[in-house]
Parts: sequence; C-alpha cells; structure tokens
Amino acid sequence: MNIGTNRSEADRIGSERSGVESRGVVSGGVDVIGVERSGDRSSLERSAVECSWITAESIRFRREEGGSLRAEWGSRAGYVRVRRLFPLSSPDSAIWIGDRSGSEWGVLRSLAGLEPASQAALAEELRLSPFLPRIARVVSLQRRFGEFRWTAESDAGEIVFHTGPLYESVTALPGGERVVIDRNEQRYVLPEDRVLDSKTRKKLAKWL
Amino acid sequence: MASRTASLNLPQEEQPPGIHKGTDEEADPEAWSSPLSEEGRMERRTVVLRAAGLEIRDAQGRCLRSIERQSVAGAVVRETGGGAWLELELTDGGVVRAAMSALAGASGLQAFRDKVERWASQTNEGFREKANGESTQEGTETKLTWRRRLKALSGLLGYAVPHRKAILFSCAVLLVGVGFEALPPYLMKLMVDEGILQGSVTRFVGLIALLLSVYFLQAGFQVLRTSITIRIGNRMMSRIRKDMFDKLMKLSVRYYENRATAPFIGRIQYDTSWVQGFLSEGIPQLAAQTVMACAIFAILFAIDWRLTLGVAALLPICALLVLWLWPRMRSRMNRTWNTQYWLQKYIGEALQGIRVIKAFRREDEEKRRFSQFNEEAVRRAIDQQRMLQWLQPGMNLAISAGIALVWLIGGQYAIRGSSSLGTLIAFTTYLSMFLGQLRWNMNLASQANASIAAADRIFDLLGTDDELQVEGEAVRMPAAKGEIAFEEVTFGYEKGREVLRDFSLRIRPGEKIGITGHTGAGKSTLLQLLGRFYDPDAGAVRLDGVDLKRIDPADLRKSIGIVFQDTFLFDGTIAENIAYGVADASPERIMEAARLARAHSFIERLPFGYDTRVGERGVRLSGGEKQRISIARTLLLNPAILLLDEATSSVDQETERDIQEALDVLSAGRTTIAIAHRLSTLRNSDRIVVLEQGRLAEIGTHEELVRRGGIYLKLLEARRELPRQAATAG
Repeated sequence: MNIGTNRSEADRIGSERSGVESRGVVSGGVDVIGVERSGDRSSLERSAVECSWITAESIRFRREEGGSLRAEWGSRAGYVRVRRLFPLSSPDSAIWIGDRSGSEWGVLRSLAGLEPASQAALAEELRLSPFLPRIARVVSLQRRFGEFRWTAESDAGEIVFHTGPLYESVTALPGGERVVIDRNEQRYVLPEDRVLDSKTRKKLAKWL
Repeated sequence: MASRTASLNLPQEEQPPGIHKGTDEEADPEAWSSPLSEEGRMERRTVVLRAAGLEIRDAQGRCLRSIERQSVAGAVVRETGGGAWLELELTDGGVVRAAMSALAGASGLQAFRDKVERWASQTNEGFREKANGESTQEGTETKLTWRRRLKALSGLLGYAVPHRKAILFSCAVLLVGVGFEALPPYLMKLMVDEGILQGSVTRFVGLIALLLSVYFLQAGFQVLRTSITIRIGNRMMSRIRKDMFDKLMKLSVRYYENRATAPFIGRIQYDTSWVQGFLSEGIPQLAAQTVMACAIFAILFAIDWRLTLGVAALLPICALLVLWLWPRMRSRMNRTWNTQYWLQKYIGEALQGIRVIKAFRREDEEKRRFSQFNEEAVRRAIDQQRMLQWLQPGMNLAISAGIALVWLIGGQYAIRGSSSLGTLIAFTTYLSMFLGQLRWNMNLASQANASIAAADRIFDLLGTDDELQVEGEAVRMPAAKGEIAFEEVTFGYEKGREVLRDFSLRIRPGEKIGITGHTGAGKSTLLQLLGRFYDPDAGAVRLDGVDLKRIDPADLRKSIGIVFQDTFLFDGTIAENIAYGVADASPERIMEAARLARAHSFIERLPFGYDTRVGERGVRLSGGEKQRISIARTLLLNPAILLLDEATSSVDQETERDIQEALDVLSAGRTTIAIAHRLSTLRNSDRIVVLEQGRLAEIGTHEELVRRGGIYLKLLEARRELPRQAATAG
C-alpha cells in the first residue's frame, strides 16, 4: 500500500463518498474530500466526516529551540503534532498534522515534495511518532525459562528488552517485516531476514 | 557502546526510568530520570527540580539546559505512540521538551508531570516540604522470573505427588522386569556351554523351560506396569488440564487482549498430553533403562573385561553426539510448534470471521493465506523429521558395525580358546541389549525435548500472575447497598495512553445515572472498571465505601449485573442461557425473568420453547431477541447494581421501546448506570454525566444540562439533526 502514489484511488473514494465529482482547492493548498462542511461543528466531529489533504508545496516545518515542531500552512501557523497514519505499511505517506490540542489541520499525502529543511524537521519528528525502534542487529537473544532477553542495536541506540514466548511476541507483517512486542507493550520493528546479517539470522532462526 | 546500552524494560543493571530522590548536594529535592533523550536516543536524561529552577542533565550529570522556575507555566505528557515526551510549557508561550520516556516509564513520567505542575504553582518553601515527602520509585515490575518459574516447575512435579505410591510401585515392577530382561542372554550362554557343547539334553531342556518361564514373567510384569501407567498418566493429564482451564478462567481480560484464544485449545489438549507422557511414562522408563544399562554394563564387564573396555571407549562419542543433537532438536521442535500456533491462531480467526469473509467474498484470499501458514508448518515439520530420519539409520548402522567388530575380535578369542562360544554369544546379545538401550534413550531424549517444551508453555500459563488479585483479606459483601464512588480514577488500556484521567463521581444507592459523550470519551471504560475487569492505574473505585480490590470477587459479581452492547449467548438452550448466573433457577423463575424482559412472547412461539437451542453465540436469534435474553439473564441475577452498556443501540426503534420497558423494570430500585448515545433513553436519569476525553465535563439532570448549553446540548442537537437529514435525503 502506498498512499503517496495512489492519489487517484483516494480521489475516487473521496468522490464516491461525497457524491460530488468536483474537488476544489481551498486556501493553503488543501484538497477537501468529505461529505459536508459545517462551520459550527466541533473539530472532533468534523474530522470524523472530512479529510483535508495538505499538499507538500503548501506547508513548511521547522524545529524550535525547545525541540517542538512548528508549521506554517496558509493562514495557519503554530506548534503542531504530527503522526504517521500508516507507520508500518506506508511510513512516508499520509502524515496527520494537527495543533497541540489535537484538532486536525489535515493529512499530508507524502514527504516527497517538501522543501529539504522542512522535510528534515518533519522526518526527525516522525522518527518518534510513533516511537518504534528499528532493530538493525540482534546482539544476543537469550532464553531463561520461557522469557527472552533481547539485546539489539537499533536506530535509537543499543537496547535491551524482555519478551514472552516468541510465538506470541513476534508478529509477521505482510511485507516480511516483523513487529516484536515486549513485556511493557513497547513495539520494535524487526526487518525481514534478507536485510539482517547472518549472525542475527542465526540467532533468530534458533527460536523463531 | 556498552556504556550507552539502555534498557526499555528495566533490567537490574540499569537504573529504571522514574522518580528518584535527588542526588545533588543542596536544594535538589526531586528528580526524574529516563534512558531516552528528548530526541529518542539512548542517552540518559535527568530532569531535576530545584527551588530556583529546573535542570535537564545528561548521563554524566552535566547541565544541558536550565529553566527558571517563574518561566515554567506547567507540564504536559505528550504521547507519541510507543513513548511520550515531558513537555514544559513556558510562560512566554514557548515549549521545551525535557526528555522522553518509553512505555516502561510512562506512569513515572505522568507522576513527575503532576509534580512539575505543583512545583510550578507553589512557593519555594511549599514545594520543598511536599516534594520531599512524595518520592516514588518505579521499577518494581522487574520480573522475578527464576522464582516464578521454579515455583511453576515444582508445581508441575507436584502433579506426580498424589500418585507417588503408584509411581514407586511402577518403578519397583519396572526394576524387577529389568532383572527378568537381563536373564535370557545368560541362560543362552549356559544352554550353549553346558547343554549343547556338553551334550546334556536334560540340562538343555531344563534351561529352555527356565527361559520360557522368564519370558512369561517379563510379559506379566509389562502388563502390570502398563496398567498402572495408564491409570496414573490419565489422572495426571486430567488434573493438569483442569488447572490450566481454571487458570484461564482466573486470568484477567487484559491477558486475553494481547493474545489469540484459539491456540489455547491446542495447548490444553496436546501440551498436557506431552507432559503426561513424560511424567508417567518417560521418567520411570528413563530411570529403569539407566539401571538396566548399568546392570548390563556390569555383566559385560564380568563376561569379558577386554571387549567391554573397547566398547566403553566409544561411549564418550555417543555422549558428545547426544549433546550436539539435543539443542538442535529442541530448536527445531520449538520452531515447528511456533508454526502450529500461528496456524491454529489463523484458523480460529478465520472461523470467527466467517460471515465477513463470505460477505466480502474473500474465500480465495483466505485460502491462500491458509496455504502460506500450512506450507510453513509443513516445511518446518519436514526439517525437524529430516534430522530424525538420519538419526535412526545412523544409530542402527553404528550398532551393527560395533557388534560385527565384537564378533571379529571375540571370534578370534574363541578360536584361540581364550573364551567360550557361549560367552561370545552372551556378550554380543548383552551388547545388542546395551546399545539398544542407548538407542532407546536417544528416542527418549527426543520425547523429553518435546515434553520440556510443552511443560515450558504450561509453566508460562500457570505461572502468569493474576492481575486482579484481592488485596489483603477479602471483604465479604453478601448484600451490597449500591453506593458507588470513583475517586480520582486514572486508567489506560495501554501504557502511556490515558482513557480516563482524574475521574471522580459519587453515586447514591438506588440512583440512576446516565453517561454520554463522544465515542472514545471513556464511557464503557467506567463500567469495565466498576465490573472489575480492570483495575485503575491510579485512584480507587469503591462499592459501599470498600475498594473493589478488597471485595470478595464472588460477592462483587453477585452485586453487579451487566447488560453488554454485544450480547454473548452460549451454545445451549434459551433456559440455560437465562439461568446462566443462577445455578438453581426454577423454570418458574426463568419464565418470570423472561416475561419481565419482554422475551417470553417470542420464546413461546418457538417450537421447542425455552428448550430451543440458540446455536453458537446465539446465531439463530435476532439481535433484539438475544438482547432480551441477556436482560432476562441479568434480571434473574437480581443484582444491587445494574450496568447497561448501550443495551439498545443495535436494535430497531420498536424493539428498543420493548427493551427500554424491560430495562425500566430491571432498574427499579437498583443503582443503575446506563451508557447511551440515544439521549432519549437517558432523559429520565437522576443525573446525566457527560464525559469528554476521559474527564467529567458536565453533570446534572437533563433540564439542567440543556439550560447550560454545553456539550450535552450539542450532542442532543446533533442527534436531532440526524433524523432531519435522513428525512431530507429521503
């Protein structure tokens, strides 16, 4: 699934849902797809029926001194919260953007097309939204009476965590990647075997 | 690199994320530490609250940033999914990310957030006094794995204890049987040396008769031992299954949220069978075969020590082979079992969703997915069996070659006259038996491997802590009055995601409370906490002034009746389903409950009346019919408190009216908490609570809330709008 490259499909679905053929571009470069617009509805209710697509060219991001992300989009500007809507299946597409109170601005189709500084600032923020360490190498995988102790190198640094039985703790994704869930429900991405080194593969193959 | 290793799961060698007493020399009253930096890297950060300001320090204690106290307006926990930032809101509108926590430290982070908020709003003196008295230490969740597992292991061996006499008798029978098995080769030696070679027919016939007697006794003892084993083995299996199922019933709802339920069937059926086989058959066999092997080895030594020493020299090679094979076999068995687990999980899910699969015509896609799981299971099974495929013929070849070698050397001794022919025959026979024992023990090792893996999975289940234990001595509450209090309740289904926050509400006995709010506001969660399907992360829920955690679970269940939105009926008769909560309900009481629940009218029209089977999950009944049976079930229970979770949301308006009448009967004289999106059903409540993002937003009667013009009024208008829109569209 790649939302970024499947725009026509999204448009088609949007048209079918809205029952209208034309889609207008409103201020700030947003494509509105939805059933209706109602000015007096709460943002929460509005977000349930509408989806505002934000184009990459229309939005700018920058990181503030305190570490927070700020964005400017049309007439709007301020601190924003962002999150990947498909963090596992399509991480670089469909980025939700909203203000600090949780009200949605819209959804950015893809990181592609953002000016480089914006893209870097957004990518850095998205690396933590969700916080999903990606395992690059398994240093050790030890079993003690059914409890597994993982030591691994990840994009967040070297980590140690504990999981229960691997048949319950590791879930395969359609693309071949796997998600490991530890005792604290923290998730980690374990890439498919072909991109892991042979020692890691061997350690995993012993149990998985 | 090692120095940067940090744990997200609080290992003992790492300081856990959490709140600690400050280590600074002077005014350093409170600190919070996390292994994650604000940029999500494994770099420790410590946030220190001081009288004058706040400091963010790195792992070496260097101050990275300091913020004056008067500049801090407050603090928020900003969830990222899988973690959270502690963000400081500054008085000039700016925001500073102090540090980040993974899920293991989420509750500590929330506690520190509260502390920072108090710190920011208090005077310096006030802060010092309060903060010093409130430090909490996280990290108590470090698993006592060894202790837990050893307890489970001893518990498993405990299954054999009630049968210890039978097991000891079985072992004694086995040892006698071993003795009889060791005799024939020696008798053969005598037959050759003292019968055939001496030409004594009488002696020869006598020895044949003795040999036959030994064979008869062998068979008799085998039958006796097998009958004992069958009896105690099945008793043990039954007990293990019972305990596993009891455990499944005891475990909290939270346990099942993270697991597929279908594979539990396999675990109860097959894992217990493996363990039973090993406990009742494998261990006595192993003991007996070891005794047998030692005895035979001693006989071999007595018959011909030179040949025996030659054979003994080969034993270390066998031992090394076993040591090499054992972990590989175990790994393959585990891998095979994993695929079987995934296969069972998939089949269970597919069958549960069979209507959806058919509705979306996804049968072919699901068949394809099944084939993938199935192929993988087959591939791993072949991989496992391939190892055994080489093992058996290889062992046979080695044994045959060894015996041929003994014939070669021993034959030369016989030809030269330094040994008798009978001795050579006896030696090779005993040697075959000895090597046969080794081969058998190799097979036993494979069985032991599978049994230990199965036992481990049983440990995993039996050793799971009950999350909802009763705190201290259980308080009996046979007749609750129905006074309920939520006291500053905070709760989240997942770590780091609060669904309810600081929720407080007091409900008088017999009061009718309606709860409404947007989807996801936390309405159903309140009922889940009150039914004690979960415990709050902070705060308390009380019934008649007693914390639910202290109430006897059986009394609590009797006091609370719940009508769920999704009705679940068991595959039994209507009568059985209505009487589910009351074991001794008479037909009259069942009918009375059904009448009050407005269910009797449709039941009486069914050909088999109350004895009509409802099918699995009640598939043969309509939604409204199932809901009315569910209400009758709760009515029969006659609880002091009634919880209604969207009880009429899935039925048409006419049925809703019927059910609402039934619910009015049901709620009369009881404390009732009803959740509904259709606000008309809540209009007559004594008070209506409006929840918004996990907090109590509004409370009052229908009229009061309408007059207030807040969220309730908006919800009311939105609901009125929908029928108008539908009418316009029509």
